[in-house]
Amino acid sequence: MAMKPIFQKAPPLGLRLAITVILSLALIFWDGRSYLAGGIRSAVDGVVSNLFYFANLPRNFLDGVDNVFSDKNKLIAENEALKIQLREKNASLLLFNQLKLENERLRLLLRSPLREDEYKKSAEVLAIESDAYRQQIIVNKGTEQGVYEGQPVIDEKGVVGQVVATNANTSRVLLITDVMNAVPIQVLRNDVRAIAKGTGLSDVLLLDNLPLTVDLQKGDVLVTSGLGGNFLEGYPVATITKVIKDQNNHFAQAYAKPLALLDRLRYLLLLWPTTNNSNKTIMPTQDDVRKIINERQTRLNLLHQLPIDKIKVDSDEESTKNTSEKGN
Amino acid sequence: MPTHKILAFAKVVLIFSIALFLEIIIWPQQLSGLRPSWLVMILIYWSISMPNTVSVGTAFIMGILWDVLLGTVLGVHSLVLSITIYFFARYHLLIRTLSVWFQMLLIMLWVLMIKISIFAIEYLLHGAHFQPQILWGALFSTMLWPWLSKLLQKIQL
Repeated sequence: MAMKPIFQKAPPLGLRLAITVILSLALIFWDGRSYLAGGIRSAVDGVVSNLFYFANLPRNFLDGVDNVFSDKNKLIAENEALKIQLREKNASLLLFNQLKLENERLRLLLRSPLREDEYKKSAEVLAIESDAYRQQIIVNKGTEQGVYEGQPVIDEKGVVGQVVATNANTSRVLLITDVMNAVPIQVLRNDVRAIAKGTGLSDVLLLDNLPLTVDLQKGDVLVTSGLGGNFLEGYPVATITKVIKDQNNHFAQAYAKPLALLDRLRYLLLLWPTTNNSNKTIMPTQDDVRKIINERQTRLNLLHQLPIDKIKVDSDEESTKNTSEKGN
Repeated sequence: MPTHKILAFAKVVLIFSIALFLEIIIWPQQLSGLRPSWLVMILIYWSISMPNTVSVGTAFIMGILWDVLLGTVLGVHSLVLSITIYFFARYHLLIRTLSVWFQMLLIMLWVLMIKISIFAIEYLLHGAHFQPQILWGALFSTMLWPWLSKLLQKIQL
């Protein structure tokens, strides 16, 4: 009551209401289905995102208290257990690296595109409330750490989501269960492709408009197919919980449960796809590959018993097609 | 701009920041529906007590900030807040004379309406699952109203 009006003669209240309502409705229609107003969002976010850090302070404080008062013996035991776990993981990684190289070599021989490699960085979920009707989280990495919109986010169990908005030090991740999200997937068992849509519930994904003859079973593991371009191929997403094949409908439906525990996320991994460096140096030419194939065919006796000539002609045709495409 | 005006402006900004902070601070998952609508109540108090300073425009700006912080579709909260604050600013003289009980009832109805209309907009945009728990938040907000209005009365602007 003490303050004087900022404008000496303010426009009438009804007019102001009309303006704000029209502006709001325009924003809703613009931003409504696909976050189109990302520019405005990022600009305003830059101003208010400092609040994220304040809002996260209570948890940081409690974590600190927990660290100070934790038992020494417990820590030692935990450390031991972690070391053993690390050793086991490292041992299996040895084999993994070998398999990865072998896979790359085989792909080179087949002239199929190489799998993209990626670079990972850990991020932490901030304890921030977000819209009750959206499935999204805020993480403590932003453009200063190289995060970009559309970036894939995983955790140690499976795919979590993708980055939809960024600012300097925080970014917003849309979870795969949000109604606005859809992940292109394939079934690990038989490579059947589909699209997993979010439902707004944190433990249900929906695969709809599948053909009635689709080969899907309860318990099938779904992995990313990499077709959308955002996600790399082969990351586990969910397991099928229910397949509905109703003869009255023209399409089958399936429900899946995400592998990552999306309602209690704490540490995540951000992925940066990188072009494969390990093979750039030994990338063979077309002739080299042909030479290698010929060499192996002559060396392996078993292959002589197969109708090699036909296969060879096919592969030659394909490779010439590839070269002509490349030439273009 | 005289100094006292700048100081008052700084106070308003600070209190709104605290309100936004309280809106995004995490609650236990089971009780998340009980979160009081701090920002709505502060806006309502000021729109009654000084409708010339805090009114529809302020509500709109705070609504946009709220949308950005929560990650809602832009415009949802600003639309709902503008309409609410229009009502309170329009009838501020009448509402000031009401007893605390009537004010509490009014707050409860409006907070309920805000929550339901946000759900309705989200539902229209891309489907949403209604959580009846959010309605308890209206009751919680109502119970806080007498204390909050006393507190804001103490803060001289």
